Amino acid sequence: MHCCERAQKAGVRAGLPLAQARALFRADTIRLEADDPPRRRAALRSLATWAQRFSPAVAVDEDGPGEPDGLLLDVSGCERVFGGEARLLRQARGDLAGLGFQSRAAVAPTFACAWALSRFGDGEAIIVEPGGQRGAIAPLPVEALRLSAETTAELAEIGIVRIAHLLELPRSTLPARFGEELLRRLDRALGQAIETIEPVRPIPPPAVERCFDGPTAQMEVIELTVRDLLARLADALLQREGGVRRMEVELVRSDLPPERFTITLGRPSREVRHLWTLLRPKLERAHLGFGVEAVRLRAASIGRLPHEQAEHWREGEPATAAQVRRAGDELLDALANRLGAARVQRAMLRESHLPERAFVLRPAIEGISGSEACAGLTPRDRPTLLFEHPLEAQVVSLTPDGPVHRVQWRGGGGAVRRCLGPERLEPEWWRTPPGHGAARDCFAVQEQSGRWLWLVRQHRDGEPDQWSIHGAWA
Amino acid sequence: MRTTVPRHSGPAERDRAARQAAARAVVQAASEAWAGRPSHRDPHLAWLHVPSLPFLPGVHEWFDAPPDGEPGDPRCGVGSARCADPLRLPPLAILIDLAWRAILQRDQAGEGAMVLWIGSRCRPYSHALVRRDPSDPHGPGDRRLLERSIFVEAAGAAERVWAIDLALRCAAVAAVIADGRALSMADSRRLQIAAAAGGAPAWLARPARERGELSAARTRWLVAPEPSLTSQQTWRVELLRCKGGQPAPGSARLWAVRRDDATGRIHEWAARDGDLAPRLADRPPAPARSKIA
Repeated sequence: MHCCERAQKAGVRAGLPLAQARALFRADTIRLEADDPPRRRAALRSLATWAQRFSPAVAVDEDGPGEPDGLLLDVSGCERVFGGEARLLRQARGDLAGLGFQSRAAVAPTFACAWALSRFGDGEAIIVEPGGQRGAIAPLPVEALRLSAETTAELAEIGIVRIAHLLELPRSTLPARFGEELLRRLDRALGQAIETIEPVRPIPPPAVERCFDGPTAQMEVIELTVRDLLARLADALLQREGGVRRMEVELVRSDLPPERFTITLGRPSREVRHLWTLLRPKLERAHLGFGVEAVRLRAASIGRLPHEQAEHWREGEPATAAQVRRAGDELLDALANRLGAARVQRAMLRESHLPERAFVLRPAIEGISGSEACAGLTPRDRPTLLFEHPLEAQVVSLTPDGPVHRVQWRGGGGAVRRCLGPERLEPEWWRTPPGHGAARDCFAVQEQSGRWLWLVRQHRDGEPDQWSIHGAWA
Repeated sequence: MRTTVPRHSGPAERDRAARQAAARAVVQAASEAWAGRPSHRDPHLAWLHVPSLPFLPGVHEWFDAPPDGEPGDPRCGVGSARCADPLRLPPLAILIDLAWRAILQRDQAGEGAMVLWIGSRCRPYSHALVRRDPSDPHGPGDRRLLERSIFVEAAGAAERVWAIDLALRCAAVAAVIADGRALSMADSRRLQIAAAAGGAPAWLARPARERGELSAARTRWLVAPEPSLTSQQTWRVELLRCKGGQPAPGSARLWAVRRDDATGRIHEWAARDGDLAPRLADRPPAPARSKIA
């Protein structure tokens, strides 16, 4: 039985009967999960794929006596990228904690030594310098050598409980009394024998390819081939329950470098019709050169897309919510792939009193992230349209800080009917160094025609005030 | 149709008379076909039902007011100095309110539909899309419109028309609000067809100087700000054209609307009686087969 820290404090231990463990808590506060070794192993495997960010060779530790419960990483050379072994270790453990895992880790010259220290060592993140294996593992119990239970019991019988005791025995006597296994484990820990790991390999992304007999510059042929390949790719994705997030298309041309283009999708899809709509405009603009020899399609990034019950959408029937959502995603994909992802945007509110910092625009295909809470401004306080570039203006007021009487800008202007304000907006002192930002006074002014403008006066010490129009209640 | 050709006329004259007769036949056939079109006598298009008029699938054009409030001002010709005013702005407050109504209508049907704002001139300030609750001014407000809004930047009229067309054909779009500058008759016809296929309205904001341009829009509206005595914003909204619609007796085509300072809603369309009666009185009853309403 494994349990969280809080449960351990309450007295739950591994091996405690379930009924007793239940009795320690209120019934609704505990959550029981049956032990499921295949699921656990699959989780460890996906964690190994995740850990490939720290080293290209990551293996699930399957050589231990019990169930696999750790990862082995060959970090030789990789520590330079992270600025040393200590930083690598800190970052790995920090990232694991971010995923919600507690971890113990060790860096050592041999896998066996690191295995022993991470489980039996004194501390949660241990680093052993090259040549220090013997000193590091000597005080550890003999279980740290990954021995079978019988061997450990035999050693315990004659009083050998620590590796230091084992190291003092003459080496030649060990195999005869405890078997070859013990010596091999000891040699691996000390670096006198080679230990290899079997790294997990990432599953390659699905790709399809077709080569022509000779180069062709006929667009119809290439279009037909791409559609055909798309259908094959969709089949491959269907088997993996995946959908394309990003697809790369490569046209291999004779005597020229290959022509490549990429489409990006907001949500994974494996629908041939939709992918073809996105590919087609790019394909039409592709330069075929002296002819295309082969076409390659590669799903560079795929997302999970579970199987669905096929539905018919007949003309005239109301669409279901899922169909509407899918139609919306396809529209965003089509817009983003033709115009560019940065030109199809969603807005999110940010907490700031400065109007231009109170929202951000993000590419719509990246999905929705939360808006922040914002101070209670009424629709009268902020304009309906905020200009990207404020319009310079000249202003006439009868008193120095009084209401505005006349406003003039390039291309228009006139007398002011009403003037509300000012509203003082100070610069964000936590962002701009002191003395750099300018305080603003915002006025809502009504022109003779009845339209309301948002007029802003920027005030800097020792300089004349600058007036500009920042927005309008259009 | 039979035509009588005078005997004493020369061959050239005979030719012309025959051509005229053929042309007359074509015009008559066309006008008969037009009269029989069911949409032409659609009772929903009667101007009495104006609050639902902008939501009919199709293109609706919204003009801002000419600088001096009078249509046909010569100073408002293309390229004149007055039109270089960078503050000629689309009537966004009214379009935002229409967008709210569009998504609320679709929400009743249980669909989370989107609103697309196409063209950077038609991108309202994000906070203007949030509806505040006057009883809880510091609360987050109703952000449905903000969350469903997509802002599309399109360079040039061709790209804009493509984006509007694509959006109108999508089932997940409740309404498209777009910069309608420099759209040709062919463009507006294309958008009208797309809107009829998709079932969503397209509201195009067009500058006042383009009021003389032809278009296939279903309705045309003019929005002009009105001076008000309070801090409230008020506009005068005028229905300039309603294709295939006939004014029902007593129906208005001029409204005064105001924006609620606390919530940002545009208040219900209230006909302005004063201006209304004389304008309608001197209008002859619309001929049944008129193409230009």
